[in-house]
Amino acid sequence: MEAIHVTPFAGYVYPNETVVAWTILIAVYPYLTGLVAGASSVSVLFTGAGLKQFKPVSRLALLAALGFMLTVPIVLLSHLGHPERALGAMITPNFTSAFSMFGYFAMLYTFILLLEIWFEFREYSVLQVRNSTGPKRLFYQALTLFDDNISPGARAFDHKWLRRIVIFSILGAHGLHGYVGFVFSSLKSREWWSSELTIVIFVISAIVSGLAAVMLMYLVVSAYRKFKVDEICLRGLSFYLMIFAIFTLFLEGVEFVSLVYKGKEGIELIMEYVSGPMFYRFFIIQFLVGAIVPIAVLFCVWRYKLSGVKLIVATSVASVLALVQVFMMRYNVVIGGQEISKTMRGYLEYQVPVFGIEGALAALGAIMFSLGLTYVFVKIFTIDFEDEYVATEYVGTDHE
Amino acid sequence: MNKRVTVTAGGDSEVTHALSANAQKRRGFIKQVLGGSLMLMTLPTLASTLFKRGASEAEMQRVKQEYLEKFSPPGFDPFAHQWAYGIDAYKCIGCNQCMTACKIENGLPGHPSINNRWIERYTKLAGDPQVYVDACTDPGNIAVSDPDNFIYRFDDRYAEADVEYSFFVPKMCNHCENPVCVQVCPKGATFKTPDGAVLVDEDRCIGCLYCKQACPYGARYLRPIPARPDGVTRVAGKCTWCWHRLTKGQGPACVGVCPRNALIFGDLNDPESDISLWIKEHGRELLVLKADMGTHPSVKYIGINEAVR
Repeated sequence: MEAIHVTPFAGYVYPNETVVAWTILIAVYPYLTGLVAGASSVSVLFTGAGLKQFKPVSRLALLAALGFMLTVPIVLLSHLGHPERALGAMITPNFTSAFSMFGYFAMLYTFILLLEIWFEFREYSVLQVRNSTGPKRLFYQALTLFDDNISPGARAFDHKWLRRIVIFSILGAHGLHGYVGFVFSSLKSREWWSSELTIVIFVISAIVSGLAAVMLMYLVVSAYRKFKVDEICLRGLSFYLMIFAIFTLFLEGVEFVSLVYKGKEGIELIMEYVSGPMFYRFFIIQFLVGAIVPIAVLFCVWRYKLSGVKLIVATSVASVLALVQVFMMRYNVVIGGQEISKTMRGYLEYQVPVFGIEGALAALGAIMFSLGLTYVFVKIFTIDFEDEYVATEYVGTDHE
Repeated sequence: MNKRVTVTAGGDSEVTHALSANAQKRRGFIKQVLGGSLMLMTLPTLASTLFKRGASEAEMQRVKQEYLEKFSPPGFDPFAHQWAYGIDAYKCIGCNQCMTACKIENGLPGHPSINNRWIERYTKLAGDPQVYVDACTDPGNIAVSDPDNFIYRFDDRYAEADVEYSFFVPKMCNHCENPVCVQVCPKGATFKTPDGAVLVDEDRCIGCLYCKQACPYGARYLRPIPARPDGVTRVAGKCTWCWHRLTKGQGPACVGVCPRNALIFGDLNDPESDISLWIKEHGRELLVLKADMGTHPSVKYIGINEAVR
């Protein structure tokens, strides 16, 4: 018999609830889709909106979005009782299930993202074909689909289509992540999940996590490569991060106040829970350390126009804390929702194990895997706009 | 042939350029791909909706016959029955025999956290506004039980207390007419049979437990041991009303062992069945759990109050 992990509880919870069904990997799942949506948003600031100051992080964000996206199914499959049957859910889906549709949306979005990346790096890949030999040449030839046309007309075509695809990409990324919010909020059995604001909070907080992740990656890359950080870009990102962090904090506050104010059945239990086992996770980490502190730091960056080391330290601290906040929010939604019993008479006190597929190390491993994938994509493509072809780049478009 | 396309840029200048026939072809192709994707996504739903609306009586009969041939055990016609379950909480004495019988009949572990059914004890003490609830996972009850041997008991914590009232409530899957678990199952592994039972196809279930999250009654779990010798673990488990017994003309195991006849089961299509007569007798008292969820449970209760959820 498989081991049964019973979670301690207070009050009365249904007996079957004492075995928590969705653990930390399922918290990582919306975290990753949020990072996808957020990174995609950062990329679009330049490729879609044409904001030139975000050019240094545009390609990094795009490749990171793919790294995060390809990790999502791995996380989900790892958690299934029978991952070998998962494909069947797409071949013979139950159309009334919110979850069955996720697979289609995820596939569609991944296709759009790949298309976007293909157009973005087509010219780079062709140049790699021309400048290399042997297996490397063959590899890049395959990536270009054996088409080496980078004439001005072809490039104009690429960039025209790229700008169109970007629209679908940003809609797809946020649509997908919003849909993940719907997967939770559509369940009427849990008061903690069934808020109308869940989807909006998911989408806004996704931008926070994406901005923070890209900022942090950019800082790490620049430290590793020992090049000077583009302060205009960093300050711009930190400004957007501050705005969206304020927005997220506001919405989360409204959601919680609304829950308390409505005071429906079981509110006493929810209050006991949030002021008890969830206090540190919810009020201290998610609200204070993860939201208010970075907002204050980012406000200083904006108000006092910090530069140099001060800017780098401030934005590093703020982005780490913002990432912690968003992860804690996902954790508090997924695990918190299950800790509040459907009996509304008790709550569970789930402790994340360190080891095993349901453990903290597995969750960390999943996130590290997505970063590893991003590293590989950065190696295959590039995050720079190299000099040798930047001169002829975007001919006939209004990118530059 | 080239086509001239005019593009307005910036509002003050016009850039005119030609799109080659190739480019037009590519554009057409991409449009087709996008259109095709949308069609592929919407067609199955559209087709099934049209089919449902347009299904004739003959077609329904054909589907029914196919269902009987493919899915029903020989000699059992699920279309001929409409099962329902009644629980008389006035009679329940909390002996937990139903739970024991269920676990043994359905190959469940003795562990109190994995159940098709369980009994809750509701107790109101004099001068205390709170109603206290406990069941098989309560540490006090575990201390006086022997789960490894399928023996479950309630402790005597209220023996010396001034009890205003106390009663027992058997809980189980409500085999809802509008089951949320069936709605949310991504693969359709959870389904409703024509006779009203909600079952799990263990050969299809992917073990995502979305159904466990969706069930308002806490009736589902992940199977740690197989239900049958050739069965599997790590799939969703739940009460089946002992469907394997129903197909042989027997009732659920829990109903058979109840010493107080607190559990009533039968066919609503038979006006003389136990459940039909019971519903007729107690029609005005009947309650269902969490009626606000819109699930329309097939399990009806008498003898419970508003504290029961």
